[in-house]
Amino acid sequence: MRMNLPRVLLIIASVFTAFILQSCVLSRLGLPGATPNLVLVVVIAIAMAAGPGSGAIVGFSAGVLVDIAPPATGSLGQSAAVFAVAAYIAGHVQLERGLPDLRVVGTVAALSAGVTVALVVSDSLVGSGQFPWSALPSSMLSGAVYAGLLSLIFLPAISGLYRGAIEETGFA
Amino acid sequence: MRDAIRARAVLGLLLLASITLVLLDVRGSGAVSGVRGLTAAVVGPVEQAVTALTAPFTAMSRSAMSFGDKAVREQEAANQLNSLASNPGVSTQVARQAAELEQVLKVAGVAGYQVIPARVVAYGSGQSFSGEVTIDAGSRDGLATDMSVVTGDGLVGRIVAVAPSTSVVQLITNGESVVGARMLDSGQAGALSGVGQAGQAVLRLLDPTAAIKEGDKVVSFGSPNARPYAGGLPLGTVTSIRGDAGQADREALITPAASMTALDVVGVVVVAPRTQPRTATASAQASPSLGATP
Repeated sequence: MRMNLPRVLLIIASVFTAFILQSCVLSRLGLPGATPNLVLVVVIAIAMAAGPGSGAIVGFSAGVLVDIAPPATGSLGQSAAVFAVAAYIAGHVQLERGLPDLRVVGTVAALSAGVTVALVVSDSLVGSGQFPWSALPSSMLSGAVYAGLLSLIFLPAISGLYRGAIEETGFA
Repeated sequence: MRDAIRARAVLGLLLLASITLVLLDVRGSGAVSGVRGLTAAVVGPVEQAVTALTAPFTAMSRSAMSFGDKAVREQEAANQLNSLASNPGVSTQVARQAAELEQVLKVAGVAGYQVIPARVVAYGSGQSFSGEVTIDAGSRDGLATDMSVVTGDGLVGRIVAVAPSTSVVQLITNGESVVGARMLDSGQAGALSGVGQAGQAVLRLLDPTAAIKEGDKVVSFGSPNARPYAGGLPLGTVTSIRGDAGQADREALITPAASMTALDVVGVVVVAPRTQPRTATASAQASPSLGATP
């Protein structure tokens, strides 16, 4: 699918909103395990609608935002690389209209678990932190469950908005 | 087919760009910190507004999530009783924040610190175990990097980045944090390192044969002018000890005095007292009557 101005604005708005919701609301809810990674779910949803190439660019940009916006002071470029790869993979999944099926939700959950591992590994390579590897399995599992649940709402919403953005302007 | 090749090329270029960014950041490029400051100036106020708007909702969810955690429930019940007894019209949220602020100011007053109060507006994502929070005060409020952040319970961390209206605090439980520490009773010095988990930190004493037991209190060692860490602030309590006395790698697990997952109102130490308070704040906490008559 080709890019146009309404789509680009829509993508910027949805990624930014997801980031604010994640760092100000979801992280303060006190949910057990990891904080639900809403930014990743939105990036995956866009990638599934837009394809691997455009998806990777969106993933990279969202990752840069996560890396530089407060309260992050980790190394710039880590999340950017991880999100770009996750979006590239997600871009190969064909999205049907309507409620996402088990295959799609499973893909989102698996990507979320993979992203958690990749971020911890890259942080232990580039950063100087020592990480509680014992907390990794529970973080992966809870993160994957949250991502799967969020995808049930956000996949249809994002792909619907995304298709709508081009039909309204008559570019299609 | 051509699309697939193009997508692969795009991904390759993006990965190269990421590696470039990582290298720039690791080398401490001025451009990177400039962009960071600019983003903080734009995103910080938005985060503050959203946090303020959703505060009642998130507080409700936090209390629902801690259902079954007896200590938390008792604390909440006590808070509610307090607020009902004094003023039925004041909501629990406001009453709790007022109590936290009073505690911060009281402890700071006993030690002779001057603090600026601030609120925690955003937590780093738990998925990357960042151990960092954003507070709603910045350089315009007189804050600078390497200032100590405290609650009424003890030391929380230090400021690692400052924007005009927000700052980033590295918690003492952050995997990269190391704080000079001193045993309250024996005076033995050591280092408290974070392990990246909210409720835990690890203490290594300089003298591996020094006596240490469960329940011992640990306070901060203190740096000149209270930067990066003010002295005499409670750090936590020893919960268990790994290894035997005399073993070089003996370490003690510490439960932080301040709860890192329930941070709301905090104080930033902007002016240190003329003399080191050593253990003044810790003893003020041990006997509340001392704190009441500063």
